[in-house]
Amino acid sequence: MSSSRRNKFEIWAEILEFCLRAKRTQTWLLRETRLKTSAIKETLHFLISRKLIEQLNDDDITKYHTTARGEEVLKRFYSLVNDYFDLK
Amino acid sequence: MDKTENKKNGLIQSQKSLYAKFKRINRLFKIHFSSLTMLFLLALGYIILWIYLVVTGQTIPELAQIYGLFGTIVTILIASVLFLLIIEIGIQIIFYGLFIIRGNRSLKQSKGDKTPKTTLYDGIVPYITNFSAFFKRYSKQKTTLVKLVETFLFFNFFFGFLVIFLFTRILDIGSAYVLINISMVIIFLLLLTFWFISLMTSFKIQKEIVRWEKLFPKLEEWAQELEQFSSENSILFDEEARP
Repeated sequence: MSSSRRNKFEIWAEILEFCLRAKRTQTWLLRETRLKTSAIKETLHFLISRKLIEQLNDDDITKYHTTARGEEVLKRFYSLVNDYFDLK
Repeated sequence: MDKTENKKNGLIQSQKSLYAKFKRINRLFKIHFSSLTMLFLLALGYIILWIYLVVTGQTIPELAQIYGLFGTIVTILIASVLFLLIIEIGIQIIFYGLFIIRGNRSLKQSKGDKTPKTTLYDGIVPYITNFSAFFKRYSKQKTTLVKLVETFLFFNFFFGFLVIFLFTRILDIGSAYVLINISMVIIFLLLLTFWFISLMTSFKIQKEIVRWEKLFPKLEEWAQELEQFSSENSILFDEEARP
């Protein structure tokens, strides 16, 4: 899907987390995730198609924000990690 | 509205819990890194002192006088082991240093963010990504990251033990100068302390890495499940996948 150096779960979870705190533009995400333009477009398209993030128009600027569904998915991701740390 | 608030709170709680755990892991790595750096500097200091003693002719003749051939062997051995210890610790300092730099960056809240600093964090996933990148870089099919850390642990123990053991031989001889004698004792005690700390933290790091190694396949499964459900599907994860 994108950079061979990163797995899907890393990219998807990262974008969901970034768009959770505030609405983010594609440029902002591009800078923070250090992905190629084609890869970020493809990732955003995938996440929108799954209704995990939504596209919003803020002062004529397209921004992305994590949906409630996306939050649920991210929560599951966190609980997976949390469960492993709780193991003794 | 309440349901949404509860969900948000649940998410914040998860983030807070993970953030606290990552901070603890980061601290562990920092302690390990510091103990290695101290060990490295002390070994260098010891070499300088050693060279001084050799140049002034205080060590080798004394060792040979007391221990005969064994004294010469000890001299060659300690120089070789100390040299190997410095190289080996130097590699580890780079190895852990790179990880700490990236980990610290991840755990910092994004600067220049216009949104107020809420309790939501941005650095949880980047920290996991950092670990994952670390795994991909160093974990090969034959030599996994766990094996690499175990190798470091073995060499730390082996070389450290040899240096400390051989150091006691040198301490027996001493020097004509009190100041040098005191310095050697101080270096010896510090070397012993930091060697012990680095071994303890190595054990803990090894345990953490074993845990992470098991976690990554589960996160891959998470991505696969995400790929499978369509926009209309309800979110249903396989609960049995949990450990």
